[in-house]
Amino acid sequence: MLLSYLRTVVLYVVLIAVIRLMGKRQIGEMEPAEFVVTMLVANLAAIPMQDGGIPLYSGLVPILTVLGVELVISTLAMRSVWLRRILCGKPVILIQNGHVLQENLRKTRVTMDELTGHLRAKNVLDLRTVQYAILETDGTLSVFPFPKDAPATAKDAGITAKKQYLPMTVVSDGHLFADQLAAVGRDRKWLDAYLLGQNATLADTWLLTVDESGRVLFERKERK
Amino acid sequence: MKRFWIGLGLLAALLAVSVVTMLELGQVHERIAAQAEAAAAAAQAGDLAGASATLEACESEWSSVERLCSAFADHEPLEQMRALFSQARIELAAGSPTEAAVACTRLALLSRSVGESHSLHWWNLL
Repeated sequence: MLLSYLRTVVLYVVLIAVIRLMGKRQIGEMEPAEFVVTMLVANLAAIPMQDGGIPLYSGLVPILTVLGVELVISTLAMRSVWLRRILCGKPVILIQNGHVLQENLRKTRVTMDELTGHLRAKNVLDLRTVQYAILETDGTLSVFPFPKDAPATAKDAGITAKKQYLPMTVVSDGHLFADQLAAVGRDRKWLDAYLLGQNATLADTWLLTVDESGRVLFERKERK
Repeated sequence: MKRFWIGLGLLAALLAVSVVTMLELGQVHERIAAQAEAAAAAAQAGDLAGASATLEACESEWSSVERLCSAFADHEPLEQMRALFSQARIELAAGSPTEAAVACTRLALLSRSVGESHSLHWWNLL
């Protein structure tokens, strides 16, 4: 029992390290090669986790080998369009200027039901309003309506949009991120003065964000 | 490019470790198999004392590498080998040369097959 526990911990740590090393793409939408790697790694880890008679080495070596191959291949794919095409395929246009390209639909084995389902998910009811619908290599559908059917932007309406700023998290659950505080041009003196104004301390702070315009969001911790 | 080199380095290191493991395990099990066969031959020839001495040396060598082998190979065949060592020892002590020879021969076959299961042959790859 203890062996199973320890093996699981070891394999868990290894899996986390492997997924992190492979990059964020493993967590979001995946290319075919990435999907295969993720499935493989998960299944490889399960075998020595469950069976104490199988050496941990039997699980670790294949997992690390998959990691090594993935790191090498993904780097080469970045530099080679040919290799990228082999591994990931290429995007395919399914709708062009309001017309469904039936040949492309057949080639990609996407049914009309699937296509209309994807369009509905993108809030498109009438495919004649779609200028381009592109099936991407990770299986998602990118939809571009005709400009006259697209929602108006501030530019279209002739409105000067307000600038937007990225709020930086300075305090989270009582923990101060000094580098973020410096990044928004503030210091500890300013923070202490602000918290004093809110009748709070660092330990009382659930969330405090500041953006470049100086706008502050402050949330106090709920009392239990 | 950093990830490329990490990946390549990892593959090279894993390959090296795997090759060394394969060679070592192969050699260890071949030595055990040869000694077990010698013990079987001695038992069949009626030399129980010689067979016991050979088996003891074989078991001593096995004990020194058993834990390392357990880290790299499935445990079930290794457990069977341990059982066969015990059986051969008991048969020799009981003065049963045929049964002892059988146990030693089975031990040799099992040890050789464990060693071969790690070797680079097409049937293992498939």
